[in-house]
Amino acid sequence: MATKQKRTKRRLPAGQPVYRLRLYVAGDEPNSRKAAQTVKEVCQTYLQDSYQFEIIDVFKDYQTALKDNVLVAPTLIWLRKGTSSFLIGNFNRKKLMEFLGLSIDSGEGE
Amino acid sequence: MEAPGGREDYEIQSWEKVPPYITGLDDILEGGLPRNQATLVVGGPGSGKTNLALEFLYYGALSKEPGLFLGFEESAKSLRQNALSFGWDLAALEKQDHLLIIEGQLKPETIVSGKFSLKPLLSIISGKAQEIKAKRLVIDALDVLLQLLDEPFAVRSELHYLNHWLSQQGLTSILTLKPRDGQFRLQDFFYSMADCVVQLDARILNQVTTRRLRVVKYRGSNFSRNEFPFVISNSGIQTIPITSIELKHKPFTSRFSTGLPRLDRLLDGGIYRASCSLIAGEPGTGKTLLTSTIIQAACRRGEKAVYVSFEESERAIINNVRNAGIELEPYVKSDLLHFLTAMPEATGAEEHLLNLINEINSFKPHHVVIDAISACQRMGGNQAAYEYLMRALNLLKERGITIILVNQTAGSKQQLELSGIGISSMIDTVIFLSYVHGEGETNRTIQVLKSRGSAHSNQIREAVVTDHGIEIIDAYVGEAGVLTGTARKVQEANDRLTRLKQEALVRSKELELARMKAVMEAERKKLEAEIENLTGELEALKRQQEISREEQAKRVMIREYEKLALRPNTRKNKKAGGTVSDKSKSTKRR
Repeated sequence: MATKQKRTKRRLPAGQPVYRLRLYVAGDEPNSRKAAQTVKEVCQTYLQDSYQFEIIDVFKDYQTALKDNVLVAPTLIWLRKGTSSFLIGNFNRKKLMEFLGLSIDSGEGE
Repeated sequence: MEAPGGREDYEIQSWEKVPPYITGLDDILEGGLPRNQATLVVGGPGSGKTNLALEFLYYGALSKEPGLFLGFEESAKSLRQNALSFGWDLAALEKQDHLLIIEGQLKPETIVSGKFSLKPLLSIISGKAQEIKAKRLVIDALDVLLQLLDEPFAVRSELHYLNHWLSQQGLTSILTLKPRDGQFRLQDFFYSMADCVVQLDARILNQVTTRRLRVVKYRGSNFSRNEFPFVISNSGIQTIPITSIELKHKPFTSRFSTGLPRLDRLLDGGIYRASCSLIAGEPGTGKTLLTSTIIQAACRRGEKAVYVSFEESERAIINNVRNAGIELEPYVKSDLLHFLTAMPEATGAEEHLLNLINEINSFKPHHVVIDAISACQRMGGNQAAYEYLMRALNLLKERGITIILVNQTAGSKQQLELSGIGISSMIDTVIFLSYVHGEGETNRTIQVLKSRGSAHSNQIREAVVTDHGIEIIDAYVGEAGVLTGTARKVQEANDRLTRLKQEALVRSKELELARMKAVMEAERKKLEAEIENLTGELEALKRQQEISREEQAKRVMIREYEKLALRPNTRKNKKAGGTVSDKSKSTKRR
């Protein structure tokens, strides 16, 4: 539905920083590490330069976490103009691509 | 600190306790919640968990223990509004940094995939706690948070971590939890994890909502294990513990007058202070009137009384008893008498009890009337009535307040089941009012059936309602049983007549006897007089006889002398001397 429409839109204008992603991690605990790894891979593979990605360690900056209402880690926030989407857990690549509305038919996602 | 498992085994010493400042709960928990530990508050929706938690924070914040509220269910705005209905201004405390509300609702756009931990939450808590120097924490509700962690293992490990982490934070916390179907194993886990578990429950009994609170466990501490009713009143949660598990009622020492001297005499001097009296009887036997008489007498002495009425309005009672010459209104005006009137079914037993407790605390009365205990059943059945009365009586007795219960008995002779609610052990004195049906009329009787610690008359008396109050009259007790009213009067008149008749009879017999005695006396005197007369006559006759005999003798001697003088024959003279009698005879013959 909504994500599908956006997928087609977003795939075309490459080169623009359209994907603003923020990942909250809890130090270097395994779930957080895994999530950070997955985000980095997917961004590099599919979004090339059209993304901003920041990692916030909740142990160091709880204020921002509170502002974003992030209570669990890892939490990935896709910051968009009207609304932001949240993905929580040690998601895998497939889940992340679904979340970001990226087409899996490009291959490696399976 | 050690891992939670190890701690459990070694730390048997009791906790330093934190008062929750919730009326009654401090007592139930024997001091309060364990300091720096987590207390689990379990209860279904609407059972009052959030209220309890908010109250814990609000009063903590007021007493220099700032608190954090982490809410997963309600928004901060609705919490503030909710709190304001109890008069708690959260916003003011928030401005002073004595309170912080963190909204933990998940965004609707959130997608959950895979494992995660609650560390950001804890990081936020500890960060914010340091900022405002928090001492108290509430997480409401844990189950919403854990819903995300659908994997039981993850739940357990996160909870263990949470519990361990909490114990290191220097935060006394309340975690609320809704038990869910199919989560029983999880619940067991919660219970074994927490050091203190409090269960709340709202149930409907006979169409009346009753709330119950129970401490399920309190590791390393004593606590009251019973279920306690509680209410959410307009000043927050109030629990009503069965007042101080041990009975501390004082022995009775002094008595006071009922206002009816004859009743006082029946009671061997009046009613004991701090005792519990029951005035029982059928409808219309004058229970309320007698009660009002006692209250009027008390107020006259300047003592304070509370009249709890479940059946009639204040106005109705005042007007009704005024017709019988009892004035209560002046004492209402002079603030010696308070009426507490309510429909029993209007609220649950707890709220009724709470109203009474609040009234007692603020007004400090000497006497409390509960009219009628039979109506208490409408608070939600026998059990509710029992709980209301048991708790009320205990409390009143402890405070040394005299209790007068009024009970309506349905049948005519229900003497064995006077209270009907199983509180008879609490009752010290029973005054039973009844009717006696006679010929064409019905009369009231009064009887003291029981009076602990004093001699009392068991006799039935007649109670007559006059326009100047109740008058107690000795009933006629005879072979025909107890007679009252006209029957008594008739009987009394008959008795009087009989008595008069007997008296008259005796008097007449006495008179007769006296008369007879007088007659006898008179006869005796007459006879004596006759005897005297006769004796006198006899004497006279005898004397006469003697005189005449002497004269005769003289005459004889003269004659003899004459004879001798005529014939000087001594022999013949001697012979003649020897036969004086013959000669006298012959003289007589001549």
